[in-house]
Amino acid sequence: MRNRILGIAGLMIRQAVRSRFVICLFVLMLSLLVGFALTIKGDGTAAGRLQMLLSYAMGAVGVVLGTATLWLACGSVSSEIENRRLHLVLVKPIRRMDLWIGKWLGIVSVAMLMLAVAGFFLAIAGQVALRRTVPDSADGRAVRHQVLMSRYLAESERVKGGAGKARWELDCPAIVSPAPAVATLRYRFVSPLRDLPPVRTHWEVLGPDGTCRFEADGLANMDGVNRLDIPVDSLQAGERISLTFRIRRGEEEALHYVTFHPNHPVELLIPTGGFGGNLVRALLIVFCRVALLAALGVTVGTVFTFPVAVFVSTSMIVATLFTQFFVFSTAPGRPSDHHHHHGAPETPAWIEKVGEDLANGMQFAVVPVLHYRVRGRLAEGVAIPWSEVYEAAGFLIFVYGGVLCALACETLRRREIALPV
Amino acid sequence: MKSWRKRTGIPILATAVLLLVVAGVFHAPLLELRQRALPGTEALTDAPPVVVFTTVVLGGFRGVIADALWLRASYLQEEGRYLELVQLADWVTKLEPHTTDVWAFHAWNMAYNVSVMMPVAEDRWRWVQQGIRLLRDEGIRYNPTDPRIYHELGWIFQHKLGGDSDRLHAYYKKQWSDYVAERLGASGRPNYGIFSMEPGLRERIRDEMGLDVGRMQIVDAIYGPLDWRVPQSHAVYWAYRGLEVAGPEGFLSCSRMIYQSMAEMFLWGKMSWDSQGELIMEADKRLLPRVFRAYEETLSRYDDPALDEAYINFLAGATLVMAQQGDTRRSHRCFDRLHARYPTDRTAQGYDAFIAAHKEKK
Amino acid sequence: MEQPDNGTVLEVFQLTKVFRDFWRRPRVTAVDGLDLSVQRGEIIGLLGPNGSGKSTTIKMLLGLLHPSDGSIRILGGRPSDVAVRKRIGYLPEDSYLYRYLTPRETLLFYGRLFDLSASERRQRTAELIEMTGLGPAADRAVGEFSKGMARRLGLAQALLNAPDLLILDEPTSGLDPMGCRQVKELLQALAARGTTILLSSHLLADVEHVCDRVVIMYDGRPRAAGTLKSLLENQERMLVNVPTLDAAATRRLLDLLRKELGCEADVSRPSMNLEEFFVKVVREAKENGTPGAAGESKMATFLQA
Repeated sequence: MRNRILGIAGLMIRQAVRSRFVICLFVLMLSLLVGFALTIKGDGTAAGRLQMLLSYAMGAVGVVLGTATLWLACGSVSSEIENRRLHLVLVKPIRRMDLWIGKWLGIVSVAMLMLAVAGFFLAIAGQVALRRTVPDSADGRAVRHQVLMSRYLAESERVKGGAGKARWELDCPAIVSPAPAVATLRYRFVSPLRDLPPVRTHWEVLGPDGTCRFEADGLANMDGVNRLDIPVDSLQAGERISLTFRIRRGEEEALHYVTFHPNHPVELLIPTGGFGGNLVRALLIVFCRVALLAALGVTVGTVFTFPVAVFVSTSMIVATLFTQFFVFSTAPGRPSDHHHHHGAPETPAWIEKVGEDLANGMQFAVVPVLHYRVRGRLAEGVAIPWSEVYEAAGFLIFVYGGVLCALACETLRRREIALPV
Repeated sequence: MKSWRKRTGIPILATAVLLLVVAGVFHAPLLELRQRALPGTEALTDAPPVVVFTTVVLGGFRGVIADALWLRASYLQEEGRYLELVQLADWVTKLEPHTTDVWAFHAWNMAYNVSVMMPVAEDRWRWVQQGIRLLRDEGIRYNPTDPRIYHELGWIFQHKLGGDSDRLHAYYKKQWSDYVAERLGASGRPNYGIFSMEPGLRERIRDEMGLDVGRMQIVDAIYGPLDWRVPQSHAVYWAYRGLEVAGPEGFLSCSRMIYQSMAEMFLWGKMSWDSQGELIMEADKRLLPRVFRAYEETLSRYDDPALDEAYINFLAGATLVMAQQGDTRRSHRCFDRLHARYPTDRTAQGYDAFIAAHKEKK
Repeated sequence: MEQPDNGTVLEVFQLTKVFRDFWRRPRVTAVDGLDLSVQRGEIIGLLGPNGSGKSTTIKMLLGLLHPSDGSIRILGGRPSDVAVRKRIGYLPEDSYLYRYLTPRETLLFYGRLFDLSASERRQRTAELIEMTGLGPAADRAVGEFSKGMARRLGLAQALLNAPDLLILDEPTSGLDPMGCRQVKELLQALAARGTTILLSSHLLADVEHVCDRVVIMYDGRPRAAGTLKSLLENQERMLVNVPTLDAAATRRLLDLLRKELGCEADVSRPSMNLEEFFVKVVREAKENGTPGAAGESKMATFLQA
């Protein structure tokens, strides 16, 4: 069985290489990456430029590789049915599943290779950015500690803080990188007016026993995102720490109270590892998504001819992306006041019900597909945990891939391959 | 195969030729209709090849893509993620390069809305500069004949840098002043003679500040002596450039920008810093005759009663301010001009009564 | 499978195939009530003009088409059984080979599909390439091949698994006369070793030389079936074969026949058909030491077992 799958996979790779598909894709991807590296403007800082390069390059690689993979996959079975090469394969003692898995494996191997190239390029881009900045400048520190890092994003839980104080609790991750890495606190206020004068702040980091590990006075902007660097020595792996905040009273006409932004909770970014690992995990999750596209393409290609398969699978992806909007419009808790209108012609209730069920069903089916987003986090140096990689692989490759494989096998079983197309 | 070709080949060819001819006939009127209905959609001629290629290939879709990028920019801005905004603004403007409003919006957005979100002064200043650069280095290049774009650029100098609406305006003024001083000398007064002698200096001024030395000299001669460290000088320069391209009918916004900036510089446009580094702004009294000239030029050019009111307000205000500062000579000059041009009951009673009446009111 | 080799390799009963259009309306009846039984070691030919249902029948035997009616029992199982397909070799009417692969890669690939071990794959590939005379072209892409060369490779891949049942759709189409002859000799040798062979053709010379039995199809129905001998023998006349006689002896023989048996007879020389003549000329030329395009090949060892 292994023999057969590897045989088909090897054939797929060979075809991709010899039909110049691989080289074309390689050139396209590399020119995109180099193009981005040369033209991206960023916000004027090296860290910003690198962040954007990471984000855009990951996005572009995902799109280009996804499209190419889908295309290759759609043709992998459908074109062989059309040119009848599959006749000679299917009369051999292989199971339909071997055929599907072999094709899929061949396609994703090509994708894997391309992702490795992209990863190598991005790793180099990171090193170049690091070399080009002065290590001790603000920009150099930002590149090193804010971008080229894997930082655990600890979301805080607001607890009772006592008079004049706000207090949060949060859990440190199992690993905390040693200095010179720094943790970064991020917080936002709700500002009643634009450009109010800054607030004089006092932050404390308290250990589990309540002892003060670190304190800092500073100024915080009422608008935008405020950041505060916290030395990693004040955090210990695995423990639950507290953060407290109060406003220092000054004589100027500054605000004496602030409201923390309800939609942007206080976050602590705790360094846990380097950029390389995070890049690999991000690429693996992209790989899982591409693998799903490959599975979709191969399966759809068993049902339709190549052009129809491309159209159908693309439409499915577009529909999936659009469910995001359905999700908003049918979200529970949104007041639906259409029952209270009188006189105006109404859509019959059952149609709405069916529509809602349909949207909810689609949402249920596709939400996991859209769930794994990595490029923002990679660019911001936020850790992508291994658990998420496993989960993505489980869902996207095994659950969805398995369903698609089963569908394809059933189709191939029922379909008369030699029927004139 | 062969017989099929014989039977269908000629009709197909004939149809193709016919369609081409029809398309050719309709092309010109359609193009004209399109340009009339949708100004700014004509093909680019002066842009870099990549931009020309993209806009031609995308055709009408470029608007849709620009909208999508714009939506993304708004979304990111709401989320507090400003990183991509420069890039997105760059792309959106390049997709709609002849729509001045697009340039104006994105420059204003970066200089005004994004900058104030930055907690650190340097970051803020960087974003204000992004706004300036977008208009100065790109916008003008694609729309060299639209006075509005010069006005938008001047506005950032006059209002964002020159005004005091931003909490950190003093920081901006210091940064800009240092930037200019480094290139034009500590006094902010360029020695125009040196440009012809020192090679590369003219180009440096052009590349780093967007200023054309020849025009600077003209502007200086008309409205100067200008201290180019003061942001309003640049507002005057860009407004002047706007009027240059506006043609004989002029462009009121630019003219207004000139006299307003001149008035501001006269009243408090002399910048210095005390030992603590605090900004001190004083009247630049030398400029008074040039302010009169700016107002009167505008008055003679446009027929708008609001302009007279603006001049009356300036003259009355300047009279009082100069009096307060003990500069009776200039106070008198302002009052005389007020009475000569706009005699009223208030001015008819003479200078002293005018000052006294104002003190009473207070 | 459940019933081991009891002699009947293939049993087809009332096999019918109706092609339908998109709306499931019957359009063409390609095969109509075919009965067929094939014994081990037999070479059976499906004859018929184009469109008579030969290929459709073969595709149903292989599971590439599903019968509309009737049943197929092949090597003791159904066409879809993996274990059954392990023992079948198939050469389609057109060699559907991968253009980017070389003959060697092609055979190694199909060898993997037969789940042969790596050493088996290599050995069989080498032997088959030699046997089919593809040696000089073994590392050229199949896309550049002539139809005849592609046909040889197609035959090679059909023999990779040393099949018990070999199904060949137009095996000699595109081959030169030498190739045809080689293929036919190969088939006879395989049959002698117990391989069952089903072939379809519209080239009657092929069938005539190798087949034990033929089924002549027209319009989806079998119109005649039986051993070649029974079908072709002229029951009314006989042929007496003697060494060449001179004119006087001939006359005496005819007189004798007329007088003794009272029957009219005539005399003629038996002639070779053109194919036999061609093969004879080429073989003589080869014996005189002129190397030809296709060498005399010896059967692969794994097929001799």
